[in-house]
Amino acid sequence: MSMNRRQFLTFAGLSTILGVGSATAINSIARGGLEASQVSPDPKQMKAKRWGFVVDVSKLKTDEDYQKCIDACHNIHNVPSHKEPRHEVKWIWKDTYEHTFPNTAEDKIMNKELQEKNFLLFCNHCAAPACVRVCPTKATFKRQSDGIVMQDMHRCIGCRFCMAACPFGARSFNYVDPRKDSAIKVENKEFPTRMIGVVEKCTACYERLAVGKQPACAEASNGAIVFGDLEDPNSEVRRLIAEKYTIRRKPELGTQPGIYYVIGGGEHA
Amino acid sequence: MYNSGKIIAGIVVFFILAALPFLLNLGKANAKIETSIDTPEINAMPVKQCVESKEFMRSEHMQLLNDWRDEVVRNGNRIYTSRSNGRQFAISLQNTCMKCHSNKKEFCDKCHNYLAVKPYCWSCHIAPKEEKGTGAMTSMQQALLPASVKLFYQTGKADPPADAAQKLSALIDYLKAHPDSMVDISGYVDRTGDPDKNAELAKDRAKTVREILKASGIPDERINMKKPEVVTGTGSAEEARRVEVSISSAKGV
Repeated sequence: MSMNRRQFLTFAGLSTILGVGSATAINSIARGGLEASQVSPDPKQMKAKRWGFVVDVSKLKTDEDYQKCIDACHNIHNVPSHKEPRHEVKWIWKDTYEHTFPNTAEDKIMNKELQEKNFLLFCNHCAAPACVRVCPTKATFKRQSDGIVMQDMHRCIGCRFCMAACPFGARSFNYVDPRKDSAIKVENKEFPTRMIGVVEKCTACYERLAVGKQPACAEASNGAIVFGDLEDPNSEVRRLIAEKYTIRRKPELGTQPGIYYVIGGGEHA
Repeated sequence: MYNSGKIIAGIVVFFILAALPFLLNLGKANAKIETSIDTPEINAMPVKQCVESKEFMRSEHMQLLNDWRDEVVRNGNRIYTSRSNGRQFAISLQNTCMKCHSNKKEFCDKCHNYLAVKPYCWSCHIAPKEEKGTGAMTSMQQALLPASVKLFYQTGKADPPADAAQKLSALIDYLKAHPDSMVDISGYVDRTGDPDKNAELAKDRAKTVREILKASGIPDERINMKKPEVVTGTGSAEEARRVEVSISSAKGV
């Protein structure tokens, strides 16, 4: 059999198209996985366009009130408490006014009571999260459905770009195995722990929202933390934001944080 | 060919050595691994059925778990509808899979170890608590379990106390109701006396309890004479001279 150049090129070209095309076709047919009809959200799930928080620390009187919120979160999420401060892992914590709102800290003429108060800090679930932009594996991502900034521990490679990117220090790295040295006091068997080398953070209790429960901190806060839909004009959070004077942490950075801190009471404002 | 005898002999020896592993394992190469589904939760099911068919789970569970993971973490879908039987399940390794398969060592690990695969699930997900080397005991089962019975003895005597039968009755009832359960018997002595004699005495005390159980119709093979590591019992002398009887767990798990 003899073949001239034209015939050879035609043959080679056609067989390439055929080969590549059929491989793609076969792959798309034989791709395993679940059909869309097989999975569905829990009917009890709480839905919102964008979840957000309003925090009124004037309702937290004593250190125990703060600790209750922190423990509620850390206990159900198996967050370790390491003795070594540089190994610290935290999802929710408290800090001074000066550290919470550093851009206004030099303001000498202001409400002393407020200035001496501690604030409850956790992930802001920003609308434009810097951590999500830098994550090379999409381990941290913004949920399209409700705006929660999620952390997929399965994908995290521990590069810590997100920790550098987050302006709020909301992320912690597991420098040591969280299961060692009984750092987790009481294990919650319903929730996983993390492993050494991954970054973790507040996930707005996505596992509780999925079954229709409020985030644990809001539940334990005695009304100091109000959770709700920021996009819904009739929600409790929107009502509070409309009524009271609230500020957010570092809004000038443009990440659109989702925690509103009440500054001063509604009656006098 | 020079030295043909040596060369041929050498080749023969080489082939025998090379084939030795195959020859030695001839006939027993099909070592089968049997995973156990003998857990209280599965036993309580009227129809023993997993999320999907056994064959599907056997070959596809890793893919299914990956899909489950992505659906929950990335897409927020938490309910799975079975392809084979239409039932709905909460998508969760810890709260669905391991609630039934509470015997990870006999179920997951057996196969994974055999195939030398090390899934990293358990570096984060919490495995169910298991009794050493045996099937898992659930909190439900433990609630039904009678507490371990302590029988107290007189100094230097192996005669069972008068209230022995009465104290053991709840335990015997449990053993009769659960034909696959086992019972552990451990004898202890107090601090006084010769150590060798004491070891014998502890054993004799345990034997008297075995006789009582046998007399009540518990077969010998379900009674486990468990020699304690330290035969000197804890507590005061009266408390130390004792035999402890407790339900260990299902047998053959």
